[in-house]
Amino acid sequence: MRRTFQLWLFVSVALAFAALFYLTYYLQTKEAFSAAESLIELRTEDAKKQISINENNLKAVLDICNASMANDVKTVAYILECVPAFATDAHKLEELRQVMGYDEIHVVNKHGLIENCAIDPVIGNAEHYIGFNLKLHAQSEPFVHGIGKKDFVLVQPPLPRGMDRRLFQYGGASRLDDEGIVQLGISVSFLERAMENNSLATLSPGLRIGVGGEILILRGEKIVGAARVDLEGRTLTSIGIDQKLIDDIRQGEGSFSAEIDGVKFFGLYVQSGDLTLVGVMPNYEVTSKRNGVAIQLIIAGLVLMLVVFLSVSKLVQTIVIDGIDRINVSLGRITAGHLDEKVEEDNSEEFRKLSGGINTTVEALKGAIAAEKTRLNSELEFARAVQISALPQIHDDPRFEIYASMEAAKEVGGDFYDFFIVDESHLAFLIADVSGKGIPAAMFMMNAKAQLKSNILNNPRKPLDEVIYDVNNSICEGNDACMFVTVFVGVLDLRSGLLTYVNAGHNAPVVRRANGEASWLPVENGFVIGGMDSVSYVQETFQLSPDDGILLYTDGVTEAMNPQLALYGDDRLITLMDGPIMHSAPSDCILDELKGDVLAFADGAPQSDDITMLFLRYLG
Amino acid sequence: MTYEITSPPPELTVAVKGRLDTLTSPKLESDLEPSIAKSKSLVLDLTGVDYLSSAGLRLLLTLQKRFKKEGGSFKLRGIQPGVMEILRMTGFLKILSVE
Repeated sequence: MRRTFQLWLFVSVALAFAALFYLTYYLQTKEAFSAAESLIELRTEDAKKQISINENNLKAVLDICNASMANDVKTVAYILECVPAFATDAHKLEELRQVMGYDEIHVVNKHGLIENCAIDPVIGNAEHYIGFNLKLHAQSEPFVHGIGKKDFVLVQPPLPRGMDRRLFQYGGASRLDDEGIVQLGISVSFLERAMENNSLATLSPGLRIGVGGEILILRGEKIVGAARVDLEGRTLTSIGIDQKLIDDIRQGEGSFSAEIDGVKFFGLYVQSGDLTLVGVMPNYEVTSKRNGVAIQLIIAGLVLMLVVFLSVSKLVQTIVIDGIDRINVSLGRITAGHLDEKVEEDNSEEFRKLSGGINTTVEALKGAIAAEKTRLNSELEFARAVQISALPQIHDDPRFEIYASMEAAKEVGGDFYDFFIVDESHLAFLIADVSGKGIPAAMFMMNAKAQLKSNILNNPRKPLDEVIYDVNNSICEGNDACMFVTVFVGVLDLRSGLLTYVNAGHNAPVVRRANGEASWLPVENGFVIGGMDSVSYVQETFQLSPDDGILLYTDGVTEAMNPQLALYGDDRLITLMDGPIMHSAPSDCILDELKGDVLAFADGAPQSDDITMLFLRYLG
Repeated sequence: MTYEITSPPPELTVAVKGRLDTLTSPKLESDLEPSIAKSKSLVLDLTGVDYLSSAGLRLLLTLQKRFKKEGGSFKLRGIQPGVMEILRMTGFLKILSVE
């Protein structure tokens, strides 16, 4: 039971733990991704703002530049109107250029050809520019459209120029002195710095999310900004993202899971102007906190499970199983026959009830057993009474004296004796010992006794051995239980003193002469009666003189036992009978003396067999 | 009483030790029943038996009748003087085979 209980307890606790673990793991995972989502969202938003700030800064710088150049070029047009020499004099124009701090000043005539020109010598030779037709160059062509228009002002955006592709900006306005255009040109290195300062690349350090996560800034499919510099310039396809997801990422907002360079990432994407911002975090980082929690939970859970398992197991052992074990021990003792055993398990109401129930049942059983015992005893007593009543009464006859006694052991025994007058001159007497005890022995005894008596009485002329032969066959019939009886039977001729006898397996009697001397009666040891049919018996004779006696007894005498388990024995019997006590004992005291000696020998040891004796004295 | 099967069926030999009385004889009989059922002959070695009550005699008688009926043989061996006296007195020696 304990094993089964422990197994179930273990399974239950383990299942509960597994369920709890799964639930926690699931919630933690959900929580981790939700936290990662919030973090990425926040960082993406920050990046978006930063990009916007950068763009605005750059735009402000550009606006200032443009406004400044527009003013400057209009100023040059005004100066040319006031001092027409600037339009034609290259030196003067060079002075003006130096004063204004520009790299180039062009004076263009109404045909779109450069008439006069001042150029920073570092850049080139002004003479080479004279006669350059603005119409022939895509960059300068837009200025041609201003010729003849009075308020024309154009400031071009900075464009890369020359071998080194440095940014160069041109501005132009209508001439006031003549039909044509004046142009200013400047290498905008400060603008380059401003653009550099505000480029996406400068955002890189701020694009990191956590340790392994980052924000990718995409223009089209190309990565133009990332925390990891090596990613810049690569495409989404080249970092392992499939086309379908790329299509999704490039429009709208959402979240996704994908592998980037072989590592699983969780990501969010959002649009910002012409840029797409993709915030990603590696899954291992998203779930790292969860994994820590999970490991702690497993350790705590295992400890808790062990504690619960051991506590409940111990508790059940103490409260239930120990109680049941103790009850079982008590029940074992009760089953073994100790009906006085009390079950006293009272550590719970249930056990109190169970103990009470068992005790009540055992008490009832004891009562029933006692009642049955009483009934059986009364029946046995009754059987005993029937047996004793069947024993003959002492005859008052001048030709003989007869004394008999039967000391029954506890149970209904199988001993009996009998004597009866066969005819006017013959006395039959016998002693017998039935094998076994109890009711079956008693019934067998009654049958044997009746058979013997009736056969002897009915066949007074028949030899005694033949009578016994008949009795044996009769008793053997239907004796399936293999019971048998040892019998010594004698018939005394009361006129002559001649004793005729048959011994069927019984102890040899003792002859006591008139002078007190005693000796064994010589007997042929015939087979017991009832053991086997068609057995022959031997009839013997012995001459008794007047006052001679004969003692018959059963093995209750010779096999009486003392506390040392020694048997009384034939030797002690014949020694007593032939001894001085018996020599002087009157015949009516012989049986008492013998009984006294047997009891003295037994020395308090319980009597295990019937002690039956019969003493016949022939008076003549 | 204790006993030991010194030779298995069908030629069963059993060595008995102790007292064969009202308590022990029925036990020996029921214990030996399965072996006896498979045996054609039985030898009871009574070397260790010092006392035989009427219940013991009855057991011997039952065995004798049983083997006689089935045409087998039943023999006694190693009978001690006290037991021999009982067998002699009760006439059992007349019907039993002693080795």
